[in-house]
Amino acid sequence: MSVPGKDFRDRLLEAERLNPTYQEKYRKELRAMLEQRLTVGQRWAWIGSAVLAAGLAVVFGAAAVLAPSEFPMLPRIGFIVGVIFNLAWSVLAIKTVKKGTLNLKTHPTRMVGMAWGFVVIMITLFMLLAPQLPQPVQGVQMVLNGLVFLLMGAAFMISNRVDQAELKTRQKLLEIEYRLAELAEAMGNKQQG
Amino acid sequence: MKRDKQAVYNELLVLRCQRSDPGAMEELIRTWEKRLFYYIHRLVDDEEDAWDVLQRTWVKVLRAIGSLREPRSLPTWLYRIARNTAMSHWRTQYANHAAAEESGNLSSIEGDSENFRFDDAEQVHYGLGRISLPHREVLTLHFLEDLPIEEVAEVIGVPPGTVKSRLHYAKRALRAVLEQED
Repeated sequence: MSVPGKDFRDRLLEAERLNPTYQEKYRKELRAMLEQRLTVGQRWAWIGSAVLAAGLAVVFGAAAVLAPSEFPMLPRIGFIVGVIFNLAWSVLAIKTVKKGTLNLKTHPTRMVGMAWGFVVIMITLFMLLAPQLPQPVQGVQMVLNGLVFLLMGAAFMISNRVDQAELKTRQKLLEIEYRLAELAEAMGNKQQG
Repeated sequence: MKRDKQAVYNELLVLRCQRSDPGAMEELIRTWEKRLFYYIHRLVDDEEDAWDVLQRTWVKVLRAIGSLREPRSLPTWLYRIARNTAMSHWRTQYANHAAAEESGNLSSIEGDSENFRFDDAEQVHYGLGRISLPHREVLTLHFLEDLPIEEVAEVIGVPPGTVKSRLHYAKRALRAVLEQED
């Protein structure tokens, strides 16, 4: 049997007669799948999250501003970090509610990134505060716990960065290979023509 | 090793999906939609059901593409997911068809020496609708992708020998249908 080519395949696909109503229904469901529209429950959850984050930003801000002058600088910085994180979360939540969709590829990354950044900063601040604790043993314990967490986190981030760099390099090489294949095809067509 | 443009494109597309490249998933769907639907529709008679199976196929693809270790095997992987989704739609019906059809003598099949030419796409499309489901399936994969026997076996989940047998009898059945129409 003769081996079918791409042209035959395209003609075979065109031979199929399709019902536009079913096709339109499919396209709607596909759009919904890719956009991930928020359900009513999810919408209210995000609104609640935005309100809570805004409220916490106010509390942290008040704590940072109203703390007495002899209050140590590091905890004050911690409160300011709390304000920034909660404001950022509130903005993300409001944007999500306004847009009405959840991008499953970027949203989790942003949320994890923000939470991760907040935790790393707070752990660092606690480690810096550790020497000021009344009992040195508690201070050492706090520093050690913090170090373990930061080292694990650093290892994970480095591993993730290396993976991403590998993928990016691989993508660049493939793009070059594809471009070369296109050029080779064009030259082949030119020679035959 | 020089690879053809399509193989490079497939690998690049998978990588872009895995890196959450904006638009990569839409491009994957746009590139493969017609072929996958045509294949699914050969397995699932009802058009509305076929569209539903295709949509559920894309859900599975979206979830699993991040863990696809061999981007070069994209065509096989996609057809395998599409088939599994269609099979879960029509499990019992297909099993009954397959058991009745696989009674050929594998040892007598040496190679494809038939000279019959399947050039008319409209005729082939018509003929595909008139042969049995297992035959229709292997022939559709053959016409759409010209996959090697081993890859078709991977999609269908049967030994390569069974695929070879099925393909042989499928071509014979299709030829008989088309000759009858002539």
